[in-house]
Amino acid sequence: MAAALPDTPATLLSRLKDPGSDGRWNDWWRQFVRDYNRAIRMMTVGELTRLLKVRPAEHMIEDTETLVLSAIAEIQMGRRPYDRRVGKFRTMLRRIVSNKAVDVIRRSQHLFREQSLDLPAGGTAEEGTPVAESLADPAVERQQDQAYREALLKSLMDEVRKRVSPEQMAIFELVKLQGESPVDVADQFNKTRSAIDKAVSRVLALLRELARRPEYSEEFQ
Amino acid sequence: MNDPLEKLFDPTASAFTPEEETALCQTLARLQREADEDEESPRLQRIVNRVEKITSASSGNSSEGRSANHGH
Repeated sequence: MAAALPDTPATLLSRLKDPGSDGRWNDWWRQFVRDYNRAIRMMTVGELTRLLKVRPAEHMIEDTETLVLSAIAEIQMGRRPYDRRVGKFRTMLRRIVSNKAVDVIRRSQHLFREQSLDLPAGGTAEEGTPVAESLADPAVERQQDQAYREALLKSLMDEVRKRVSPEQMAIFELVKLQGESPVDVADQFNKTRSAIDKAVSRVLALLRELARRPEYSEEFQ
Repeated sequence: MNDPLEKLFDPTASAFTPEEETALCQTLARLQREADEDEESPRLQRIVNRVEKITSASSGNSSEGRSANHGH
């Protein structure tokens, strides 16, 4: 157990890779939705566009996102296995998005009969099958990488929030995120300026410490 | 200036410069605003509701299905 982090509750990433049976799957899943929904949308639009060769209709994007989030929920509920051979969660997520995009296109294929879609042969796509490992457009891939990294940062902030007091977090947010003067915040919380600086430093130090753990740093690369 | 996200997740990186720390906090502030917007997004709420219907339907009367409905 790390000395600096004596209390190390499960993180979202560890939970995603190793769903527990504590009956809290819905809490974790909701956190996942909050942190990763924009990254999933970015991946979904990119994958549908790559397959269709045109910007996908909004209902197809939404249908795919729904199936992706359902698949993640079912993994969290223990109804589907998490394929540990895949390694990074990002790889797993990309495979799920890819396969669900294929499923959605197949379901609505009658609308696209005029187009020649380069869909993988076979029946229903399964998460373990790598349908599309390469993305056509490097710019789109960079955007997806950025969205995924920002999702990681959001989940990291959730972890920080669990490990500091609500007051420390509020001070950090007021000073560093909302740009309020530390002197004003000190008055507001009836604390010394030094105590405000300590609270801000504590949150930033914890953020750095958690981000550098292999669980996050390897996923970020 | 280095990319603050790259630096944050790099176990071998040096300490943040004040400019990098400011850039990181600006990113955090934007992500928090976006998360707040998402909380209010009818589109995202619609997707969440659809997922809950799907998972409830596939669980039938199982305890997991009930958990999905009572979780919020």
